[in-house]
Amino acid sequence: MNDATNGVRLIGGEMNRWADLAAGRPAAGGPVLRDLVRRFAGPGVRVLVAGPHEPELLGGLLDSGAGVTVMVRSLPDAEELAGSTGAEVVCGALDRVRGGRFDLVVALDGVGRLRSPESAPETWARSVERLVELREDGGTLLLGAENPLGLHRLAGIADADPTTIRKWRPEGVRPSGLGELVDVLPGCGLFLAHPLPGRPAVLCSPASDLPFEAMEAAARTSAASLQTSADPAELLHDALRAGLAMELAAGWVVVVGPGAETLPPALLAADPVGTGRPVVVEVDGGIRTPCGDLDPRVHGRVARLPERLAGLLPAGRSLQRVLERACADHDLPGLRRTLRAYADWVLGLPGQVGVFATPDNVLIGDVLTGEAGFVLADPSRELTAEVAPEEALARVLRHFAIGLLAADRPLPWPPGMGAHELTRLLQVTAGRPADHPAERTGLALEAEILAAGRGLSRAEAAPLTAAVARGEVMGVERLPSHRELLALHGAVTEELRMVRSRARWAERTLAASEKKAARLEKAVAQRDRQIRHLKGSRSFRAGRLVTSPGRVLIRLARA
Amino acid sequence: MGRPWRGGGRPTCVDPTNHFYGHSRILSRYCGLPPDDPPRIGGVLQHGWTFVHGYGIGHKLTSGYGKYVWSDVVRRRGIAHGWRDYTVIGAPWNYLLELEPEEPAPAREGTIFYPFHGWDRNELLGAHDRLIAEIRATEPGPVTMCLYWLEYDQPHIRTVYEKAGFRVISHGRRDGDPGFLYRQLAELRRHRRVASNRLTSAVFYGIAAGCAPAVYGDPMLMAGVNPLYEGRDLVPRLYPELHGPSVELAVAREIAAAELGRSYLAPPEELRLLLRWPVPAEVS
Repeated sequence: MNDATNGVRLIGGEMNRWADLAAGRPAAGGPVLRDLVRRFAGPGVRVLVAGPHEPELLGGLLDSGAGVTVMVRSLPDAEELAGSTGAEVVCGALDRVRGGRFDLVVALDGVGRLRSPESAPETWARSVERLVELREDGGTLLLGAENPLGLHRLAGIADADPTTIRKWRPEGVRPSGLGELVDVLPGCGLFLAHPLPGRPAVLCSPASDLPFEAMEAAARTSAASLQTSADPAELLHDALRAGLAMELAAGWVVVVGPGAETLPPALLAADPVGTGRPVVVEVDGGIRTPCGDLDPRVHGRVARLPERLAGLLPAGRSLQRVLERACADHDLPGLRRTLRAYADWVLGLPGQVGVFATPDNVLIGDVLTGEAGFVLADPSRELTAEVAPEEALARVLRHFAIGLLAADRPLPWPPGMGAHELTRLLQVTAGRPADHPAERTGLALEAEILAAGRGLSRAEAAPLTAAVARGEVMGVERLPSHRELLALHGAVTEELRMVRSRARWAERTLAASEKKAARLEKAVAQRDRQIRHLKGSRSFRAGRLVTSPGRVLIRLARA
Repeated sequence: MGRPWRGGGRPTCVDPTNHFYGHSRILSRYCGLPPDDPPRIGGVLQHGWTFVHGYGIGHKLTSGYGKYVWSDVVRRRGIAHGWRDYTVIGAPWNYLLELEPEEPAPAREGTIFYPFHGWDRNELLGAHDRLIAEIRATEPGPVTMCLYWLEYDQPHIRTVYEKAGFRVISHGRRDGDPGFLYRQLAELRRHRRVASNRLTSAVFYGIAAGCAPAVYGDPMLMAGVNPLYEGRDLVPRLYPELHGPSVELAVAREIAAAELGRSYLAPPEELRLLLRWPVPAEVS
């Protein structure tokens, strides 16, 4: 017999003094998973949401008219959900669920947080079986699974709750790897999830032809908030190049039952430009289509127009990577060529779009033909105010310079260049004059766009704006990881070494000059003494007397 | 118009070798800055072709300043050597060639030969007579012997070559003589061939100035030189293509362009920023 309390149905195995939503790792959610779930929802659909999921995801299901039952193990979580959502809330452990069949079972948080201390230990496969059994015939299960060998773990993303290790944690919370996943759920729709298993910015099926630049760009938009020991972007790049994206993904989403075949091969999140209203696009056969809410997102003067994402997905090599490679190789001729072509292209764009043509948002279409075809990877952002193309160029080069310095990339230029000096040099390398009046506007634009991306108000952005204006790199770029912190430490140490070394040289040179000056002074003094001595001598005075008429004549002649 | 390099005074410097061969003045003129008073360069220029890291032994580089080198291979060797802060700008010779384009002139004639020179502290051991015999046997036309000032100032060496019927010249001293490279360029452009008993800067300069190169003859030994900087055996292994009484011109030009860093030639404005020089108006 089930008990009910505060609108929560208790089924046994519930945890009274425990919270999964308020503490511990974040509940499953994010724009991409929300969009995925939305595709299976609709009026009259009976849905079970098993495990902690973010409220926005539940809200989306309820808005669709589906009948939603939420099952969580924590009683405080259950009571809060019962109070705040219109869903039926069930509290207890997965192994205590009896009866009840659903058209859709959503378990995107995985099976780890579906069990309680009352549950006998069981394997991951057994828990999955229980979820599968909860489906109505012809129903669908959306299951999330963390990859123990995922890049997020290899990059050492800190667990959101550092005390987790000392807390109770059941066995069999995830599959041993891709192999077990496929063995347990053969023939199911499989998607990799990156960069976090429960909050992916990318969902991608093995059949997708998604270019990896697009996957990297999407992963980057959410990776900035991660606490990692190393920036996962580099690892992702290498994994993609090695064709190991599926094996090394942070996790997977499996679609058990019908519906998998109707899903697009790839779903990607795009940066919400600080508005908190993310944009999701699907990519199928090289065509990109924005999903859901297509209203413009606007923060200050920065706008994103999702409908501009519709059409052919641009392909090509990332300009950022091409330029970074050329820097590392000291390929100054190559840098000159590429930067000039790039600058010409940026100057041909309307300024308000050009300000977003930063190298990390530009792809080089065809390098081999010698005619670099540049294209915006994400053409949906623009400034709502008029900007001159020269000002747009000043901004994108400033952005690139700050990024190079913040990441402590190897550079082909003399040591100790700051952001101002490097930006100027990049301008000139790109064939533009060094001291252009657009430089100031470029600074202001960089600060404004950075601030908008972080959702900062004008007042909140003041310190950031000042830091950019001073040419600072620290505090302007976010440091996503321990490795970057170490790199920055290295860069600062290096700068200190350089400055000290220059100071030593200046000291030495000064000391030598002073010594020389003292020697000369001494010599001058000695000469003075000699001259005085000579002037005092009798022969000198006699000589002057003899030559005085001549001197008078000379003076008269000059006058 | 007077000669662009005329002018006295000792310019400011991080490193005095920046002014060797008038290098700093050439770069200053190229950047539109006063050719006689180059601003202080924010680092140290490589002043001669080398098969090591760009600088001579005992050259105490001020750490914390840039190292401006001719070619990328020099930078790579330097990095492997444990050094850093390299920027490749190409040889000042490239900038001189930009400043002094070749004008129509009487046909080139004969060979200019640069016997391997010692430098100010090392004298050369070698048989000048044997070298003369080899040059005579190889060169069909008139021969100009270009001696380093050290040898040129020793009448007994000069006379040996003069007696052999060669025209004997010197481009001057590397220090305090801004006209050095201008004179060298003028001489090279008079000759059809450039030759030496060792592969040196002069041979590369000659190739870039339109001469056909050759490297042959007793390579001589420099007294007391550090083995790291002694390339007598190393250089022929590095560039066998450039050794011998006649060398394939296309190959030689390709190698010279790489070693002089021809493709690294920076536009004036960019070079100015790389050397961390002020804008021209701020100076004059």
